[in-house]
This record gives sequence, C-alpha cells and structure tokens, in this order.
Amino acid sequence: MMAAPNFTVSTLRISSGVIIWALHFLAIYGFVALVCARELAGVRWLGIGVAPLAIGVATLIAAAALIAMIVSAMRRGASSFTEWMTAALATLGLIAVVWESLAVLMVPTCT
Amino acid sequence: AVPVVEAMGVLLLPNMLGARDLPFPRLSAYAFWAYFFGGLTFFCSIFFELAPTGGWFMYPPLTSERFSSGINEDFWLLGIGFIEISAIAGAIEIIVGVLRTRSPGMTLDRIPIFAWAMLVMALMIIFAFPAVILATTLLELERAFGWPFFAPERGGDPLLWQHLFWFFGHPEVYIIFLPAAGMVSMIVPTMAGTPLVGHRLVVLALIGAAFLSFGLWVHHMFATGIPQLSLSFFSAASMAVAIPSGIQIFAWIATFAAGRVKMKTPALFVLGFLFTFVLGGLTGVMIAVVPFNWQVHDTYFIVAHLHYVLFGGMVFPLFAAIYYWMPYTSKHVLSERVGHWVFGLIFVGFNVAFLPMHITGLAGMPRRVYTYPSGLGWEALNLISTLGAFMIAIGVALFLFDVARKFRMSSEDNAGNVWNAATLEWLPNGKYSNRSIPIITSRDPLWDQAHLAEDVEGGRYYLPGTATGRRETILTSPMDAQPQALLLMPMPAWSPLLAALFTAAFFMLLTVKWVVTACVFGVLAVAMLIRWLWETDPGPAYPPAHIGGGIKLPVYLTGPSSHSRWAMGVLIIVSASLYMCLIFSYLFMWTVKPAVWPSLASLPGAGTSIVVAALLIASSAAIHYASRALQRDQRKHVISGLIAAGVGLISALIVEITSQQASGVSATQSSYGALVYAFASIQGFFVVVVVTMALYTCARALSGLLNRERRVTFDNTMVFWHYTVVQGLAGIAVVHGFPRMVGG
Repeated sequence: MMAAPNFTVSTLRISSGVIIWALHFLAIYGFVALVCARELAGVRWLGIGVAPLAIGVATLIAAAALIAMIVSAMRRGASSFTEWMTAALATLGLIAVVWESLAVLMVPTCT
Repeated sequence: AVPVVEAMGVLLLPNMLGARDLPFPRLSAYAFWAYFFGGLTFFCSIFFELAPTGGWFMYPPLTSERFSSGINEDFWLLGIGFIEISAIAGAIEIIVGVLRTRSPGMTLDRIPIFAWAMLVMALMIIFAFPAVILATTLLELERAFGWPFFAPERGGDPLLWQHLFWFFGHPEVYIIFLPAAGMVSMIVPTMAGTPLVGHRLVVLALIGAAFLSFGLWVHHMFATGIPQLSLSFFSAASMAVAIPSGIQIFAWIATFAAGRVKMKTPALFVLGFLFTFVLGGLTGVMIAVVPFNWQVHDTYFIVAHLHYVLFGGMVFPLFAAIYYWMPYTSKHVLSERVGHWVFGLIFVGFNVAFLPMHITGLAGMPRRVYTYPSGLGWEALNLISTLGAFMIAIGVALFLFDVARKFRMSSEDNAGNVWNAATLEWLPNGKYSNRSIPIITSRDPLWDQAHLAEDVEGGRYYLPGTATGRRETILTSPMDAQPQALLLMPMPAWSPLLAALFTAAFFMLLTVKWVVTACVFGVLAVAMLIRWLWETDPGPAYPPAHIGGGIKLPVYLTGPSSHSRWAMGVLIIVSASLYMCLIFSYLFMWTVKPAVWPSLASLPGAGTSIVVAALLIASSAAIHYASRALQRDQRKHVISGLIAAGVGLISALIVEITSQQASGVSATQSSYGALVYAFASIQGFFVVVVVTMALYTCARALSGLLNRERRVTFDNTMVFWHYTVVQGLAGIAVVHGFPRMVGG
C-alpha cells in the first residue's frame, strides 16, 4: 500500500518489539476480563488457575519472540538505525512484558 | 492544547526539515479554519448558557438524554467530534510531511527530535482519536435516537463509555506532552552549545512512550470495580511508562552537563520544566499504585499531579519555545530582562498555587466542587493556592505585554540565528522558505556543515529557482530522504475556508436541531470540497524537471509512492482504528451483558452473511475491473465498473439491514440491537463516502481529466473502496459469525 515494501517492512520490523508488547497486553487483559466476567477464576488446568496459566504461557511466548527480535537485530548489525531501534524497542517491550506479568504472582485474579 | 502543538508543528516543521511547505497546504488551511469556526462556536456556548455540563469527560448516565435533556451535551458531542476532524487532518499533514518531504540526505537518524516527536504524536492521534469519535457517535445516537449503548436498564453499560473515552484520554496527555518534550530536545542542545546526548535513546523514548501510553487507560478507572489482576496490569504499565520519560530527562541533564549553559530565558523555562515535570511524574508513579489511588481518587491530590505534569510538561516548554523561536518568526526577540521576571513569577506562582494541593487532597478535599463547608482545614491551603494563581496571572500579563511590544511577525526580516542553533529552521529564509533545498550530512547541519547558510542562500543546492514556475518542494523517500519527485503545491484559495465554515455550520446546526438547514450546509461543504479537489491531480502536465545537481525528477507520481496515496493510507488507518473500537465495544458488551445476546435460532440465517459477503467481494472485483479498464483507457468500462461497485456496496448494506429487521432486532430495545445497527450505520457512512468519491471520479472521467497516465483520483477511490469492503466483511464476521462461534 505505501511506497516500496522496504518502508512498510522496515517500520513493522522496528516496531515489532512494541507491537508484540501490545498484543501480549491485549491478550492478558482480555483473557482476565473474560475469566472474571464469566466467573471462571476457580477453574484449574494442570493444577494452576486458568488465568495465571494463560498469562504465564502468553508471557513466555511474548518474551521468546522479543528475545528473538533482539538477537536478530544484533546479528544484522546494531549500529544501523533500523537494527538499533529494533533491538532497543524489543528490549523496552521485554521489560514491560515481564514487569506487567509479575502482577499475576502477587494479586488474586478477580475479587 | 492539541491545536497549540499542531500549530507549532505547522510553523516549524517545513523549515526544520528543509521543505518549502507542508505537503497539503489547503488541508492545513481547512484544519485551521475548522478549528477556528468550530472552536469559536463551541466556546461561545457559554454565553448562551448552553455550555456542556457533564464534565470534560462526559460520563453517562449523567450525560444521557434522561439526566441531561438540553442541548448542552450535544455541543460537546458534536463540537468535539467535529474538532477531531481538524486534528486528524493536521495529523495526516504531519505524518506525510515528516516522512516524505525532507531535505535530501536527512536520513531517519538525522531527523531533528522535534520532527520525531511530531511524527509520533500524529501517529498517536490517528490511533487514539477514533476512540473518542466512536464514543461521541454512540452517545449522540443514544441521546438522539434512544440506542442504549450505555443505559444499564436496556443492557447497556456506562463503563463502555469510560473505556472508549480513556483509551483516547490517556494517549491524549502524551499527545500533548511528547511534542513539548521534542521542543525541549531542540532547545537544550542549543542552550548548552553541544549536541544532544543520547539522540537515538531519545527517539527510542518517544516511540516507546507513544506505544506504552496506550496501555494505561484503565488507571483512570481504578475505582470502578474492575478485577484486581486487570487493574494490576495497568498499574504496572503506568509505572513502566516512566522509563521512556526518564530516559529523556537524563539525556537533557547529560546534555546540559556536557556543555556550557547560557542562562537565557528559554533555558530557565527548561529548568522549570525539568523540576516541575519530574515532581509530577513522581506523584504519577504514586498514583499508579492501586491502593494509594483509591485513597486519593477524586481529591485535590490528583489535581496537583495533573497540573504538575501538564503545566510542567507542556506550559513551561511552550514558554521556552516561544522565547526560543521568537527570533525565527519575528523581527525582534523578546526581552531577556522581562523574560527572567516572567519566568520567576510563573514558576514561583505555579508552585505556590499547586504544591499545597497535594496536602489539600490528602486532607480530603474532593475535586469538582465549587464550594465546601468551613472548618475542614482547607481554607488556609486554598488561600495560598489562590495567591499563587494571581502570581501566575501577573507573570502571564507581563509576558503578553512584552509580546505586544516586541513581536512583529516576519520571515524575511527575522531576528536570525541569535542562539547559534544547529537545525535548518535557522537558515536564512523568506516566505518561500529556503532559497535552495540543501543536502544534509549531519544531525546538527548548521554546526557541522561549513558555509551551509551562505550556500543555501546563494542558491547552490536544489531548486534555487522554480522548475515549473509554480510552488514546489521535493518529495523524498521515507528512510534515506532520496529525491523522488517534484511536488507541485496549490495557491491559496477560498474553498478550504468555505468548506470549513460550512462543515462547522453543519455540525453546529445539528446541535441546535435545525436538521434541514444543517443538511443544506452539509451539501455546500461537500460542494466546496469538490471545488477544492477539482484543481488537484494535475496529471503529468509538466515534463520531468531539473532540480539541480544533475538530478531530473518526475513532476507527477502515481502508485504507492504518491503523497496523496499516503494520505489515503493514513485515513484508512484512522478508519480501521475506529472500527476496531466498535468491535471492542461489541466484544465488551458480550462479555459484561451476555443476557441480551440472541440465541442461535433468532439470528438472521447464515445465507444472509454469504449473500452480503458475496456482494461486497463483487464490489471489490468491480473496482478492480474498473482499474484495469483505466489502464487500457476504456472510459466507459471505468464508469460502468464504478457504478456496479456502488450497486454492490449499497445492496450489501440493504440486505444486512433488512435481514436484521426481519429477525426482529431493534436498535432501541437492547444494547445488542444498538450495536448491530451501529455496525450497519458506520458501514453506511463509509458507503456514502466512497460512493461520493466514485461519482466524483466519474465526473473527472467524463470531463476528460482521468486517464491512464492521470489516475491518482481513481487510485485513491480504489484503495478506500477496498478498505470499505474489508471493513464490511469484518462487520459480517463479527455480527453474524461471533454469536455462532460462541454458541448463542
């Protein structure tokens, strides 16, 4: 749609870190909202409450994806603007994803 | 505040980027006049006792028809909704301007921080503003037609408004702050005489803050009974967003430390900003802690916090910016002596006014009260606050006096680069911007590129004269700023002003319920728009032009590189963002009010969805057919393709609406019905828009102004058409598919 695929691809790559953060945030918030609205907080899968389990899985996936982006960008040469920004935004995203997910270890799901 | 920062963008960006003008000057004019007429009418409502009475955040049910039956709230809903158009038009301008009209050689890494901040702000606008546009549309539908989105007695939920509003409302404050931070990032290096420390980190901070700020909105809703874990995510994100702000603060401090700071008035206001904003940020992190928030919610502690971040984070930088950029836009600079007094009075006055409010709030004084009983211990604190407010007023009056004395607007005869700043807006310039468009090799061109100012003024770079005799600037590639085309720009005209006036009239007359007259003005607005557009899309009327340095550029671009295609792209993102908010509203309502959802048996049959989807896809196919016909210059087939496409879209909508009515779905009976018809209404609005675009395109074709080489008008219609089809398909998937997926 816009200019050469170069620009769209580069923009998506640079912002991939914060896009992954956004998708993770949407997933965990949406899931908890549904669990609490439907009073499913007591449901347990594999011995763990369904909300903490889902959040844990989502966080592992997001963290893996973010680390992959960081590694990929460093490999391509982090001195270039595009790769530096890709790695840096992915790092910021990783910090935010982990920090937000820690809440599940400290706070009851609904109430 | 948003118009102020957009104004700074319009004033500074073209020169700062080395461009001759913004890419859509008439759109800027329209945006300004829309704000002028719309804003004036809106603010004048106070003189007729028609000012909105529901608070700036307009929560239902207070603002529903039942509790606010006058037209006061409609002024807000229709007025603000209309002003958003102005902001989005400005955002389109800034995005395309920053990405596509820079000096050759100004790669992403060399873009000035203020330009980054404005780009990021504009992108935030296009994602955040549609949420409030949707919210105002839904509330207006509820008030005017009784569609119960927010009315609990019919399956609505007031919390839906809060989610939509604050999804806009929180990014809004960053939309206000980030440009101010961008301005500070320009002022600090100049005042310190050294390049900004951590340039890339600051860019990271701007982008990071922009994204993270979209994850904070529920921190305005901590007291609404949302589940604890959900609140905690937003609490954590609200703390995390301090990281990007902190990065910028440390970058500025480091820059001051690395240089030798000239204690001029801009530097004083920057220091004031640092002190005040950091304090506000610290109380912000306090309020991000949910239990503490529950204690101070709706008290003056919050008032103290918000003023420290907004006054500190926006007003101080704005004063710094006015003092800093005065020599760029005026014959005389403002007085340094008076400036020191202005700063002193405002800074001290601000702290005297707002610091006590932290205590007043902790002592229990609630927000939004116009009086209170005596003996609660608030009187002395409030008196101190009042004294501070008067100090601020005196400081501002002194400032206005100095501005009246000294400000004489001029570009040719401006005071010049008195600060010895590094960026391109400080080149000698005139009404045509720069004499020639330079090649940039550094982030601080005026410091690093010897003789740049004389060479630009001497016409030794690109476009020292005009290649076509018209107003021109260079269209460049988004990443590396390679010249791609010559952009011809229009002359001033009445049509944008009149279009803005008539659009304002349309909205304001709807507010006072003069519907027929409103529609007349609506038609006039569209007519002015068409008059304006008719002169655009000139086709390849000029041969490729020499811009200098051996470079020859096309004067007309079609396809994905065309700047108007980029504008359409931004508009599509705005539309998609609005639709995503609608889909959120549907899913939210299903989550909290499943009882009003229909059983599988009462849904329209699956056949309906298939018919509607088929009509939509056929509509896209017809547009594709018309596009191919245009490549072969077959005018009749282009027109028949457009007509067929229009028929497809319109019939799809009619089938959907009639099938819902036949199933007994009512827009006024439940929130489910209201949402179903909201989907159809919004699709209907888009259908009207693209069909109008198609008719306009047919008119161009019939007038011989559309052909194989001259097809930008058609292409813009085409991309927006395909979007409308995809949007319609998404709507069908949600409205027909979702209830079946979850079992009814």
